[in-house]
This record gives sequence, C-alpha cells and structure tokens, in this order.
Amino acid sequence: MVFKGYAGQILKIDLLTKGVVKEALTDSLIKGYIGGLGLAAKLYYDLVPPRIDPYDPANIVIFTTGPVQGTLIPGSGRGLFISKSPLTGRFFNSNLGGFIGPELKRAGYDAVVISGRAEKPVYIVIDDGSVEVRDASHLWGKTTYETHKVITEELGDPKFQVVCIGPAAENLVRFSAIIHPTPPECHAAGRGGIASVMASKNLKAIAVRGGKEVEVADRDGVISFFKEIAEKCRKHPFLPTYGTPGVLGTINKLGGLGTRNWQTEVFEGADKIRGETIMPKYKIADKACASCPMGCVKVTKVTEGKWAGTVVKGPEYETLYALGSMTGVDDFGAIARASRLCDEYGLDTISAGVVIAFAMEAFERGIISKEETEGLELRFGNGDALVEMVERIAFRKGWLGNLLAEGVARASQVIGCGSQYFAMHFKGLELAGHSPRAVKAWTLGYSVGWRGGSHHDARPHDIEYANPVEVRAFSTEGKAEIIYDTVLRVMIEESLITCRMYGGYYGVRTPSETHAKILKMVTGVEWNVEELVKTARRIRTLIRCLEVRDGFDIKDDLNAPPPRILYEPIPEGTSKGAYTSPKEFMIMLKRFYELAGWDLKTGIPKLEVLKELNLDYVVEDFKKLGILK
Amino acid sequence: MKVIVEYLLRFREIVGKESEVLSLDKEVTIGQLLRILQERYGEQFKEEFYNPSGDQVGGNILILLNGKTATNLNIRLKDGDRVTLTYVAFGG
Repeated sequence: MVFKGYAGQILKIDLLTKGVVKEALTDSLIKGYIGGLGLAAKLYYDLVPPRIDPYDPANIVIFTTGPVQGTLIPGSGRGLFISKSPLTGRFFNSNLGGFIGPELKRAGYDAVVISGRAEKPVYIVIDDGSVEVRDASHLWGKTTYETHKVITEELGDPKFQVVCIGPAAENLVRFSAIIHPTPPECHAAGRGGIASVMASKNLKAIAVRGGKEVEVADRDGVISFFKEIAEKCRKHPFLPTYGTPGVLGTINKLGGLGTRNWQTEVFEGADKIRGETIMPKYKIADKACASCPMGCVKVTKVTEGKWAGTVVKGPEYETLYALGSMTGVDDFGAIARASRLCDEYGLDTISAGVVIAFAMEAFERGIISKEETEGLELRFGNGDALVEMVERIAFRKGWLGNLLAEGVARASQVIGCGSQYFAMHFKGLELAGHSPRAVKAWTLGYSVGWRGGSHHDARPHDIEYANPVEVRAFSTEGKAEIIYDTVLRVMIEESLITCRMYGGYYGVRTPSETHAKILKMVTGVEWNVEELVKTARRIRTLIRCLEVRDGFDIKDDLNAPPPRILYEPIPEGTSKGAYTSPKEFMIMLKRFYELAGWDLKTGIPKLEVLKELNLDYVVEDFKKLGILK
Repeated sequence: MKVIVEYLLRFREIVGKESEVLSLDKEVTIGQLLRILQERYGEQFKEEFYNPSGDQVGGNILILLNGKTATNLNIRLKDGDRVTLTYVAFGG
C-alpha cells in the first residue's frame, strides 16, 4: 500500500459463526473513497442487499476510521458507525468522539464490519492482532457506565476503550445511542438508533486496545500543523471555555432556538441554560478527545435542588435545545438529570427531547389524555415529567413510553388527530437544534440530507448565522449553492473523520486546500481540491444511490419538511415572520438537484453523472434492478 | 442618552460583566460606540476586532442592535437602544 496513515486492514466478524476474516484495504478503495464515511458507503453498498429490514441479520454495522485517526491532526479523535437506521429505514452514519477511533487504528484496523446475529449476548474484544467474541449474558440489562466498568475489570486494563449499548437499545428503542464511556463523562454515536441494530445482533459492546504506531508521511509537517491550529483554538471565542453550549444564547437572540416543539424560536428561559450561565456555576472539568487542542468537552455537576449531585457530560448545545428549550424546561438540574439518564440507558438526547416535546404539545392540545400519560402532567416546563418520560421511553413503560420509543414520525401516525402537523422530523429523524425557518437554507439541507433531521449532513448555519435576517431567513438566493458546497465539505470531513468543531479552520464552505494538505501530510500522496470535490461528489452520489436502491426518491425529499416549517411563521423575536413556503422550498430543491446532477423528476442521479464519477458498478446494478434503462 | 451594552461569550470574560448601561453626552454611531468601548477595555478588547479603528468589524464578531444583526456601523444609536456583542463562530 502506498498510502501512510492507514492500518491497511479491514476486520470482518460474523456473529453467527464467530468467524473472523482480515482483508487488505486496497489503494483503489482509498483513492476512490478516502476512508470513514466514503469507505463505509462503498462497503455497505457491496455487502448489504437492497431493501432489507434494519433488524435483519443481513444488515451490517460498520465501525470505521479515516486516514487521520491515531495521528496528531487536530480533531481526529473520532470514529464512525454505519448501518441502516431502524428509525429512518435508510443508510445512516453516526460519528463519535473520545478515544476509541484512534485506538482501533492503533490495533491495526481501518474498519470493522460486523454481520449476522449471535445466538446469545456477546461482546467483541479487539486486542491488537487478537480478536475474540465473548459471552455477554451477564452484561445484558446493565447501563452503559456499568457495562464499561465490568468489561474493563474483566479485561484487567483500563486502557481498553469501550463502546456499548444500554437498556434502551436492548428494548429496541429506535433512537438508542451507542455510548463510549470515559468516566466521569462519555461520548455518543447518538443518532439514528444504530445501537438497536447492535442489540438486534445480540452485540452488547466492543472493547479495543492497540499498541501500534500510526505512521504519517510528513511527521514534522503534522506537528507544526498541530501547533498552528492549537494557537487558533486558544483564541476561539467560546468552545474552550463554554463548549458547544456557548452558541445557545446567541442563537436565541437571533430568534432561531426551537422552543416548545418549535411553536416559537425564542426561549424565555435561555439565560438560565446558556453556556455563560451554566459553565461558571456547574463546570467541574474541562476535557478533550484524542488529538484535540480545542477541548470543548465540559463536565458539569448539579449543585442544588432535587437532582443535586448529578454529574453529566456537557450537556451539549443540542441536548440543551432538545431537553431544555424544546420541552420548555429551564431547570438545569432536570435537564442534566435527563441527559445523564440518556447516557446511562443509551438514548439519543436530541430524538428523546423532540419526541417528549411532541408529546407535551399533544397533551396540552388535549390529544393525549391524563389517563394515557398515567397521571403525568406532561406539560411544557415540567422538569419532573421530562425525567420521568426518559425512563419510560428507555424501558418502553406504559402505552406512551412504548409508543414514543418508536420515534416521533411513527408515534404521530398512531396518535393521529392532526398531530403529524407538529411531529418535528425530517425523513423520520427528529429535528436538530438549527432552525429551518430562521436559517431558510436548512429547510433544504435537512430535506436533501440522507439522514434527514441531522445538523451534520450540511452546515449552512456556519455561514448563515453571520448574515442579517433578511438574507438568512427571508431569501432563497444562493441557498442551494451553500447547501451543495457544505454537503461536499461534510463528505470530506466525514471521510477523513475530522471533528466538525474544526470546520472553520479547515474550510467553512467547500473542500479546501487545508483538507488536501492534511491528506498529503498524513498519506504522502498528493491530493488537489479538484480531486477532493470529485471524490466528495462520488461519495454523496453513492449514498444517494443507496437511498434509491432502497426505494427512496424525489417524493421523500418533497415530503421531508414538517408542515409547521412550511406553513407557520415564527411568531416573535428577531426572525419573526420567517417560514419556508412550499414554493420557496421547490425553488431551492430544484436548484440543488441541478447542482448535484440528480434528475428533476425522479431525484435519481443521472446516468452521465454516475459514469463521470466512476460509479459504473452502480449503473450496471441499476439497470438490472430496472432503476435505469 | 443611555445605551445598554450586552456582552456574550469572550466579550463577557474580557469586560468582566454581562451588561452595562452607558450614559453618553451625545448621539453616537455603533462604530463610535465600539471605539469608546475599546478605549475603556483596552488591548484585549481591541484585539477581538480585526480593524481596531472600529470602522469595520471583521472575522466572527456579531453585533446585534435591539436583537437584529447590524452590518452597518454608521447607524446612529438612539436613547434606550440595546447593543449586543457576540460571535457567530462555528461550533455546536
């Protein structure tokens, strides 16, 4: 292999047979797909048949790294999980920080592909060259932190990095999270319920220890790059001090903070839960992922009230939005407690908060009765109800807990009575904390995202928050271009696997010279921006083809925005009056399809685009499947 | 006239307070207000602005006038106006 930075090996584990195969990572795979998301999309395309159920044993879970994991490239302390989501039914990726991504590389693997279903609960131990599938019957039912503790004790070395699932995944909650405990905090591959796919395979955890050094082509270059970026991080205006909660106060002032299930976008309790308030009061530790000079990880401890003593990572901005402003709760203790329970039980805090906010609105509108909540006053602002609902969802307790565990799209279909109008999801994934009305480009970004309601499929807010309200909330001009460019940037950063917190230093809009420089320093092979753009287009197009192969097309994009976003103006605040009308949405969508080379009638990538991007194998398959003529 | 100035994120750390009411002898523009604040809060405050003269604001600084993004620093402030100094840096 000519490329440095990679381990050069893909590990394949069949849980049914406990068979382990090690395959070489080829140069052509690297050149065509880089690593991370690109590599995983290609592996997923090759290994999984179309239209299977996410819980089918033929579905696979891929845990992958990119070229930079295990190096000193800032923001490289990441790893990526890929599968088909039980929440959205689509190809899905979920990224996590911490230390386990680099550890996997040091153990000698670029990716692990897990297939089949074990007969009883198991966990996988990867210890450099040794790979073992162990019994995990005694771990089933345990929380994530308990699981981590037992496994590291069993293995006799706290250096083992562990990812695991909690009771929520075991109960097949569709938005369960894979948790990477690094006590007292943890990291999460939270979105899309890939943890439940692990549970469906009877896979409780993966423990990794590696002792190899990751070789880079230009060691001095990487060290000097680290120092340069570390100096910039030192001057970042909020991440080192406040972490991601630093953005909450400003987003609220811009009138774009989803509040009480997006009935408004100004939260009167924002001052109580923004970074500037909670960090000086509750922060007990500043932490960082591997190779990160930014250090945005904060650990807080509740000091007063009912939940005093609760220690939690963050909570991150997205969690403060979902469990805080969305549910109308401004009691930091209740939010911290709910967040901690999500970590312990293995739940995605974003989806959990959005689905509870949905239930609160349904309760206040009289669609859900007090009988159905079993006496719970499920009103906005009720912190105790928030904490109680996290418990009920994780364990599918009662009619409502069991229903909400299905996610907001399915829950609203069952509840009916017009509740689909305020089910805040795109393509089945609960909406993240960046407004599709106050930042109009986001209506498009979420709608053409393969995941839907994720704030990491495009990144328009990195650019648009700087613009006056007339531009960001009331104009469609140039929005498709911003979305298209930021999607391509995301393709590169998810394939290198660099943290999105470094986006502004590496290229806020498009694949950049800095991305090319990182690849050159690490791999030793020359890359230019033009090649990166083409590779990014190839990866996005391949993911689109994975969607198309599963039966998704333009109608799923058209139906993506929640009605509240299309018809209901923001009632107050700086972005008052903003919404994305169906006409505006269509203008942006059409332009995006033109840029991406997708057919305007079907949303399927055009034949000439597939050929230009060397996706001839897709053309062949699509002709056999009757998708292309 | 009186103007309320609100400090978020690192501005809050530099200034050491969340907000203050400034009493001004005469009407000023946003740019002139920034110069007054730069004088008052010194080098660290000045360094936040790419152009220390206060005529332009670069980088990731966001100035809100009564909640709305102000891109024109020549806007004249009125009695009771609220100016917020914050950032739109990436993250979150």
